Amino acid sequence: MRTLNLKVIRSLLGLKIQTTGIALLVACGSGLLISAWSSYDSLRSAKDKTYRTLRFGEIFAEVKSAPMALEPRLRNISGVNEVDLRLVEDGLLHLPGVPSGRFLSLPPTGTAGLDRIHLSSGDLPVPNPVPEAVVHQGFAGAHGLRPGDLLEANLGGKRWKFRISGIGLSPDTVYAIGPGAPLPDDLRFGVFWMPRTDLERMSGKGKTFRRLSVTVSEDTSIHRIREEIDRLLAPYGTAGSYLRKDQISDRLLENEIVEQRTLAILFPTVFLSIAALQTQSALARLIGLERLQIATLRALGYPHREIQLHYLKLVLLMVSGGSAMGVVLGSGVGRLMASSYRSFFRFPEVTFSTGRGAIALGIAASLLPALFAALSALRAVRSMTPAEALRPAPPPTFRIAGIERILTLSIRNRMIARNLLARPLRLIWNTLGMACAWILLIMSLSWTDILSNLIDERFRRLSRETLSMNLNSPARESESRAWSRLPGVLQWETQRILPVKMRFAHHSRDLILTGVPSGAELERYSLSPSVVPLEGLLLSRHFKEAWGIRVGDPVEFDPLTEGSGRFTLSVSGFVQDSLGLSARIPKHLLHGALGEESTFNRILLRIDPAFEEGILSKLQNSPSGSGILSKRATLAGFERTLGTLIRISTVILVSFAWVMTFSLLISSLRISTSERHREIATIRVLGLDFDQAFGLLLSETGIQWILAMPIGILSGNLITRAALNSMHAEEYDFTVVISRRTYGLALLVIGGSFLIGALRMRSISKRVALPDALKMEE
Amino acid sequence: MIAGTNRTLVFKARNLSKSYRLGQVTIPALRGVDLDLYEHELVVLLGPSGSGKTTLLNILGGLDSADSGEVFYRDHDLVRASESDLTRFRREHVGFIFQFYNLIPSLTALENIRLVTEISPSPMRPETALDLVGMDQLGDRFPSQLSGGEQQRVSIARAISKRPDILLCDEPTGALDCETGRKVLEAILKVHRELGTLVVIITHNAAISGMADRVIRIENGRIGDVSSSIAKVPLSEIRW
Ligand SMILES: Nc1ncnc2c1ncn2[C@@H]1O[C@H](COP(=O)(O)OP(=O)(O)O)[C@@H](O)[C@H]1O
Ligand SMILES: [Mg+2]
Repeated sequence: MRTLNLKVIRSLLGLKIQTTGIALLVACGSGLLISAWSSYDSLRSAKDKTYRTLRFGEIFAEVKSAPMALEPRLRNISGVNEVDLRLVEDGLLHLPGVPSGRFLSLPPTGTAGLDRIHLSSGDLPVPNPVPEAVVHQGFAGAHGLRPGDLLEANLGGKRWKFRISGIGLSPDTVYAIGPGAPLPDDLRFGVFWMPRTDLERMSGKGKTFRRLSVTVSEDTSIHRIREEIDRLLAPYGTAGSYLRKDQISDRLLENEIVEQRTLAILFPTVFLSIAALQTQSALARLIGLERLQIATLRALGYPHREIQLHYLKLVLLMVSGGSAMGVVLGSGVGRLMASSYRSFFRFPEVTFSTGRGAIALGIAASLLPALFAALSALRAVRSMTPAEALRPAPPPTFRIAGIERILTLSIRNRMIARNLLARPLRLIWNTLGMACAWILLIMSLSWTDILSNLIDERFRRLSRETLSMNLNSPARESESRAWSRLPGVLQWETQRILPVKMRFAHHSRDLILTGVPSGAELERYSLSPSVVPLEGLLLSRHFKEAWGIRVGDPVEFDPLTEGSGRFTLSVSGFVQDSLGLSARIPKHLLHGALGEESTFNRILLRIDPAFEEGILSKLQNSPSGSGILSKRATLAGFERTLGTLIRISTVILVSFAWVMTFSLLISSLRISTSERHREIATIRVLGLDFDQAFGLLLSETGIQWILAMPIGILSGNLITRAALNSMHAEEYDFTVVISRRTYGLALLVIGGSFLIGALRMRSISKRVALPDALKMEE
Repeated sequence: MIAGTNRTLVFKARNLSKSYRLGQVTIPALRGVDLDLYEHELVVLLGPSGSGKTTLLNILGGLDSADSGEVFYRDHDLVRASESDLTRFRREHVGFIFQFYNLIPSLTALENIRLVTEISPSPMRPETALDLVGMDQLGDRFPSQLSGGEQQRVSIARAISKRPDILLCDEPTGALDCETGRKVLEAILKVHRELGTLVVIITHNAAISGMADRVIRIENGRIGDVSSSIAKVPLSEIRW
């Protein structure tokens, strides 16, 4: 038995290339699974931990303005544990790009209350003649702010100086998103926390609150508590209470996490199944090559069980080397992904740990197909008598190939055709395996296409303004003239926007209802507006799919910030919004619903770039503006956040796909070479030179790759579409595009791998001396 | 018919040595072989297993190279020949017959021969080659549809189809029973007689020696006893 163990080692060394190829396949499949799954896990636990330690509220509500005197009555609602009431004030900051800030009051004792601050540096603010504030760490990072820095802001119609006492974040602002912004953008929007007394003074709002956050004890009816809260707040103007899952930061966070889960399940599953298929076929062929040795062992009197064990050991060693590599690779890559989450999600900490479940799954998924392959190949050998198996493997039944009746083929081409067609199952199997390489590459490369299409569509073709500004309060339409006359303004357009809570059936959602003027040119809602004309309420198609709204259904709107009452509109159509959710309506219809005359509170400008700075500073000094968005900055913010995340995932996926393609290729070429080396040697003896002989073999593999190309492109396209459509989350409704560049790159990777593999095989088989090749049996 | 008469020299080997390296050990296969082979000769190489017969035959046929010494095929230096020179040498001058036929399984008998005739300068018609070995009826069969003896006869047809100057046979009957082996040898003899090819046969079977011009014994990598027969025994009288 010991000699047999020695043979395991010898075989492994002798099959270096095949072993490495298979091990790499396994390592990639399980590595991707382990990395994606573990980083998803650590994201989840980072979220839970942050929420727990910072005491994130469970029920929230916004009011236009309610007296603090309401606090005892809120606290007395049975089942309510803790109540936290905040003053909220929005303003413009005197910083490059004129970002907007949201200022929140802190409870008197600083660290008490809900939605607490996690300080990454500095201290909590204390009441002071020059007010102090904690700044959100994302914003601080984007603007290079440090504790001690002095800032200026327009707040409550005045200009204020304040000092930064510390940098931090809170559970409700893990995702800090500005009003009307499609995505979080740290350059454009920041959150600040100040002692209540200071903020009361600056805003001039006195002892009032605009935001409520509540925790409840476990066994109470949330429904009843919400009703109580809504009843108490109703006189002060509220759109009603909502749960944590509807809180904006949590919802975006959850969306992202769900997306990561899709990434953690979908891609690794596809990759791993492909790796499993490829491992299985490579191993089956490998054991087929060992047939004579197996027969010899049996002839020598080794029982079948022993032989089976021997080969299982061999396969296990091969594959477990791969899994071990996969675990190492997976934790490395997972760590990388987790650290990219860190900058995107900004949890106080993301502790990465490789999940045990992920490792178990990764290992099982690599071992099982390998064992299956080994056992089924061994079963085939067992069904023969030793004598039968000892003879060189009978060649498959060759016959005159069908195409020879149509085409006159040269002798060498006949060999190629017949060899391919003699084993139709293997031909199909190999071709499918090679098609998988295309699927992997298309799937991972297309991310870049989707991203650049998204940017092009969303930031170039749909929204064509240079700057947009929100006004603090609606102004008469005629006042927009003043803006349009600024030097450098090429085109302008006004909008009437209204932050609302939108309700349909039991669903509700905060969003911006935009009143769009007819013939809007600067901000278009669709690339083909004629298909869905803006004649009534247009919603993101997410609402059709997730809420089940149909055209003609009435939808209820509750204004969040303005005093007007609730109104109902009926839906006239749906549009695809790639980023964020929207509700649009012709501007005059919105005026009608609000019972107001023609006003605007958002203006879009297309500007001659030379004048941009000047106009920006003019906007900054206008007391009526509350949020200025430069599209360039928005795009840059998008690139920084989501763009980076997608790019990192793409690089990871593409590298995995590349390694898998290469290992598949090299191991399949290696196996073909050993299967046929005697034939190649014979052909050389007959007087063909090495390259002619080797070319025969290469053509066979090459033809399979060519056959695999259309299959791979087609199925890669279909699978990519299906996969990405299945992962479209609420906020993202990407158009799946696959560019020619992706196909070209995939071809380059596959063709390049083929070339490298072929050259490598050529030098390996050339090294075998002719007499040796002829002597070797199989 | 003995060396020294004015027959044309085909192979001239001098002090030919070849050893194989297996890790630390060197296994000498040929230790200074001197050998002359002439046109139209039928030579049998006899010798115990492992004595170096195959090695010698492979070097003569351009399948392997010697470590030292000289081999000339007419005026071609085989020791200093490049890979492509050797390929051309094999293509134009040498026919090989192996113990295990080495037919291309995906080609029919006739196509196996065509594989050779297509690249040779002055081949015979593939059908003629098959005819010569008595296989003209079975040209459309694939190797797997032929018996061992039939496969070996196809491989002879394939080897002779290029009208080689030399036919090198390494234990051509080793895998065959007596009766079949005899048919195969008959085919080789027929080729030898009708085409006048120089034939070198390796065999353990001393009975075959009776029909050879010379029987060269190889022992331990060296040429031993060389015996020449004045009158060859006709095939039919050979006792197996
Ligand atoms: N590829 C090889 N590697 C190592 N030793 C070899 C190789 N081929 C042949 N030999 C050794 O060279 C010697 C001569 O072999 P060979 O020419 O095949 O003998 P024969 O054909 O007379 O049986 C033997 O000792 C054999 O073991
Ligand atoms: Mg031999």
